[in-house]
Amino acid sequence: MKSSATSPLLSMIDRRALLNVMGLSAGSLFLPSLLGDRRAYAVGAPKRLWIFHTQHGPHYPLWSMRRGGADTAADWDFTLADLPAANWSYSLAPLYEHRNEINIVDGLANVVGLVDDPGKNNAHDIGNGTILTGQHIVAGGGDNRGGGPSIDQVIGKAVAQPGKRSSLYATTWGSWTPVFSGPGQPIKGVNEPAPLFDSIAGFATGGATMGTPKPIDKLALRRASLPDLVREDFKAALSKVGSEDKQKLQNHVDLIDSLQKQLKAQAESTGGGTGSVVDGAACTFGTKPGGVAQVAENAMASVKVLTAALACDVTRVAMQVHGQFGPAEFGANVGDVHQDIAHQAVPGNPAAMQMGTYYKKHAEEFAKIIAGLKAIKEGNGTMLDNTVVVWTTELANGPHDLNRIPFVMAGGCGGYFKTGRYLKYAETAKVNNRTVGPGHNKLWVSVMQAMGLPNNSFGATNTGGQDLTGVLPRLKA
Amino acid sequence: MVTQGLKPGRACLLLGAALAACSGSVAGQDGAGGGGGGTGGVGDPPDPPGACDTVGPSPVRRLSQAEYRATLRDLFAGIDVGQPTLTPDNAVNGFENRADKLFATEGNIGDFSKAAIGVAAKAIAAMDKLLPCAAQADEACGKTFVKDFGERAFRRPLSADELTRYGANFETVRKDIGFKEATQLTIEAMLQSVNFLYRLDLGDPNKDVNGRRGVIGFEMASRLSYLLWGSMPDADLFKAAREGKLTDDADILAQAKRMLNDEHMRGQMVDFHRQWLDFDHINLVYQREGEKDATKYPGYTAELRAAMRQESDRFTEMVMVDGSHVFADMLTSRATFVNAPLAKLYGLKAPPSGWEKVELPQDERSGILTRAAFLASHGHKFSGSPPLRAVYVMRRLLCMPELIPAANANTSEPVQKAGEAPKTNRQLFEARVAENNTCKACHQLIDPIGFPFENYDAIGGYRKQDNGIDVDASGELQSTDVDGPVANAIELSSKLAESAQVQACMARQWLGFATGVEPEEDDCRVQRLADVLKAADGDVHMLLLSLVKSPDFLSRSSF
Repeated sequence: MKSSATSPLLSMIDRRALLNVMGLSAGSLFLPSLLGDRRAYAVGAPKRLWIFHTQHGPHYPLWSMRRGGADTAADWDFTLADLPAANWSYSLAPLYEHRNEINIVDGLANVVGLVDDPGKNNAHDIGNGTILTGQHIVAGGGDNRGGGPSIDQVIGKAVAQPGKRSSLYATTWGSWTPVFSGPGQPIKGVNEPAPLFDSIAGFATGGATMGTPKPIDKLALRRASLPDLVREDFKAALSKVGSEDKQKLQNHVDLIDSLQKQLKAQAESTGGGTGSVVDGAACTFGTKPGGVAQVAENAMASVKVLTAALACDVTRVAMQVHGQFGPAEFGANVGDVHQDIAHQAVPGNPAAMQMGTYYKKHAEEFAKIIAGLKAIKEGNGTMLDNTVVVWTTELANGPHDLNRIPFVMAGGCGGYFKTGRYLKYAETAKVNNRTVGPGHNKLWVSVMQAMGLPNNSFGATNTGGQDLTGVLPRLKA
Repeated sequence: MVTQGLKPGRACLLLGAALAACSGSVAGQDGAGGGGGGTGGVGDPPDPPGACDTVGPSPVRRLSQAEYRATLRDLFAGIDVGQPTLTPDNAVNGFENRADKLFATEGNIGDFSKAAIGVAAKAIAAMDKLLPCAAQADEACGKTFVKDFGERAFRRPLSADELTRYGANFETVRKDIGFKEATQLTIEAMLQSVNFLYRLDLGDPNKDVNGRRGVIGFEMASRLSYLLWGSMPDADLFKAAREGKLTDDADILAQAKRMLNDEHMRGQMVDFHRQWLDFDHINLVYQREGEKDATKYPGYTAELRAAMRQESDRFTEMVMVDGSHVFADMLTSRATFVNAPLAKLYGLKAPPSGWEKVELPQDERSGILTRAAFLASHGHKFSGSPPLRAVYVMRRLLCMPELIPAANANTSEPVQKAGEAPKTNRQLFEARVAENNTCKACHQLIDPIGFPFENYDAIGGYRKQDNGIDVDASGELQSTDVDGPVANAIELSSKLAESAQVQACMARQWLGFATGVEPEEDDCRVQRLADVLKAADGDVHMLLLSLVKSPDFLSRSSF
C-alpha cells in the first residue's frame, strides 16, 4: 500500500487519494482536517519559513566577506562556492559546508529604525521593535514597542492550514521579544523545549499507518465540540463590549475556531502510531526534551522540536529568538556579555574578537538548523529546498548600529530564491544624514512573495525619504 | 512618530526640571483622617482634601498568569489540580497584569485548552469533593453542577441561556458516555469560556454613578478579590453579591477590611512587590550572565541564590502582611529571615535548621536595598555596580524617567589595570566617567546614588575595604524631594523611607496594578492616593481601602 514516492508528504497524499478512490470520504475517520492541505501537497511540498533571531549583532569586519570588491557604494555579488574555505570570514566560516544553499545578504539598513532614532541612541528597543515589523515603533518601554505585526505572524496567518498552528515561537529565558501581533502587542515565545514539545504533541494525529483504526474516542469527539459552547459565550460577550474590547475578544474567537479543528483532527485520527503525522523517520516528534541548563542547549533542543513541527506540518512558520549566550558558552571570561563584549566590540578592542566568536557560535547553530532540514528528504530534494531560513538580529553590531543589518538566508523556498551567493547592496541612501543601504523591509517582501503571498510591501512603505516597497532585487531565481 | 529615547544630556536636564516641578506638591496634607494600621480592627481610609475628577478606562481584562493559577487553586479548593505550564505574557515595568498586553495568541489559547484538559482530569479524580451529589449521577445532579460550579467559574450566576446550553451539553455527554465525563467536559468548556478567562465588568446599564455605569455586585466581588487576593471571590463575597450587598460604599469597605486580614492577602501582597521590585531579577541575571567570579565568591551557590530569592518574599510578608503594612519599613527594617547560607553571608550564626527570624547587624544593614537579592542582582562578576544599583532606586522607587546610555558608552565592569596602583571599584567608575563628558551628564546624577552601596560586594557581602583601601560609601541624592548627602546605603534607605516621591511612586504602581491600565504621567489619582498614604502614615491598607471606594472601582467607563 506504500507509495513509491520518496517524499513522506507526497506518499501520504497518494494514500489519501487512494482512500478517496476506495470511497472513504472526508467524513470518514481519516484526518478530515488535513484535507485542506491536499491541494498544496499535490502540487508539491509546502513552503516553510524559519526565522532565527539572535542578539546584539556581529562584528562586521569578522562577519563580512569581500571577494567581489570593497566598494560600499555599489551593488555586487559573487558565488560562494568560488570562495575558498580559508577566505571565509571568521564568524561565518561554519556555514562553508552549506555554501550552495545559502545567501549572505550584506548592506541592508533598518531604515525605519534609523528614522525612529535620530539621536543615534540606537537602543535595543528600537531595533527590537522594528526588525521583524518593518514599522515605526510606538510609545512604551522595553520590548513593547513594535509598531505592527511581525513578519512571522503575517506570513503565518496567510499560510495557516486548518486546524494547525499558524506559527510556532520558541525562545530562551528572559529574552526580549521582537514578535508582535499588532502595535504595542508583543507576543512571548515558549522559553524551554519541553513545553514547546508539549505544544505540538497534540498534533500527533497518527495518520501514518493503514492499520486497524483505533476504537472511536467518544470523549475526544465530544471535546472537539466544546468550542461550540465556548463560542456562544464569546458571542454573547461580543454583543455587549466596546469596540476595542470587541477586537480583543474576536481575536480570541478566531483562535478557538482553529483550536477546534485541531481537536477534531485529534479525535478523528486513526491512532496508528504515536507522534507521527507523516510516515518515515522524517517526521517523528521524537521524545520529549528534558530540562536544559544553558541558553545554547535550550535553543538547540528547541531547534529539534521546531524541525519536527515543520516536517510534520504542524506549522509552516517557525519563529526562534535566541537569547544571549552566557560568557562560558563561547569561551569568554566576563560577567556580562551585553556590557563587556557587545558594547565594546569596536575595531582594535579585544571584545571585537570575542563578538566575532559569539557570532561564530551562532553560525555553528545556524549550520545545524540547515543540516537538520537537509536531512529530511522531500520529493527529489530535501526539506531545506522548500524552506527559507532567515537569520538576523535586532542590531547591526554590538555598539548598536542599524545599518548593515546582517542577514543570512538558507534554502530556496520551493525554487523561489537563487542560493549560493554573497550579495552586497549599495549603501547610497541618505537617512538622517547617514549614508546607508536599502531598507530591510524589502527582504521581508521577498520572503512574503517566496511564501506565496501577493504583497508588494511590508510595514512602512516610505520613510526617511526611502521607498521601502517591492522585493529586494537579485534574490529571486 | 513617537517619543524617542532621551538623549543623555537632554534627558538629565529634563529630569531635573520635572522633578523640581513635582517636589513639594504633596506637602501640607497632614492630619486628615487617621491611619488604621497597627493592631486590631481596620479603620476607615483617610479622605484628604484635594479633588481629582480623573477616572480611567475599564478595558476587558484577561486573567494574568498569576491570577489564572490562583483562581484554579481556589475554584478547586481541596483538590490538587496542578500548576499548568503557560507561555509567559509581556510585562510592563515589571507588571504582568496590564490589560492591553493580555490578549489571545495561538500559543496561549493552546495552553488554556491543554490546561483545562489537565485540570478537569485531576478534578474528576476527586468526584466526591467536587460534587456532593455525584453518587446519584443523574440529570438533576448534572444541573446542580452546571449551576453551582458555573457560578463560581464565571464569578456570577449563569444566565438562563447559559444554564440551558451547558445543561444540555452535560446531559448529552452523560447519556452518550457517562456522568463523570460530562462533568469533566463541562469543566473543560467553562475554563475556556470568556466568562472565566476574562473579567468583562460590563456594569449595570440602569445604574448611574456620576455619569458612568455602575458595576453590579458580582463584578464588585471580583474587583475586590482580584485586587486584594489576586484570585476569585470566596463564598462570603458571592453571598454578599447574591444578597445585593456589594453596592454601597459601606458594604464594600466592610468586605475589603475583612479581606485585608484574610490569608489570601498574603500571596497577593508578596506578588505585587515581586512585580514592582523585580524579585525575580536574581534568577534572570544568572540565566543570562552566568556565575560570579568563582575565586572571589566561592559561596555563591545555587542554594544561596535560592535563599536570596526567598528572603525577598519572606521579608515582604513580614513587613507588609504581618507587620506595619508600611513600605518605608521595607527600606529600614533590619528584621529578616535567614537560612544557613544566607546567615553566613550576613555574618550571622546559622539557624539550627531551616529558616529563622533574625535581626541584621545594625551598622551594616537596613531594608531591601541592603539585602543580598537586590545587591547581587545589580552587580557584575567581580564587584557591585553603582550605576545599576542607582538606576534601580531611581526607576523603581522614585519613578524617575528612563536614562538611556549613548550607544558607544562603555558600560562594562571597570577592572584594575596591571601595574597600576590599587583602586577601589568606586575609583574605577569615577575615573571612567571623568574622562567622558557625554557620560558625565547623567552619571553625575546617577552614580552618587549608587556609591553608597559600595559597602557591599557583587553578591551582597558587607565590606569595609575594597582592594585593600577603605571604602568610601558617601553619596548624594539629587533631583528628588529628599536631596542631600548620605554617608552610606543605610542613610540612603532612611532618606528614601521619608520621601513623598517614593510614596507617590508606590501609589502609581498600586493604581496601575488595580486598574490594569498604566496611569498617565500627571494623573491626579496618583497624587490623591499618595495623599491618602501620607495621611495614613504610609499604611498601604488605607491606600487599598481608598482605592476600592474610588469612582474607578465603583463604576466603569462608557462603551
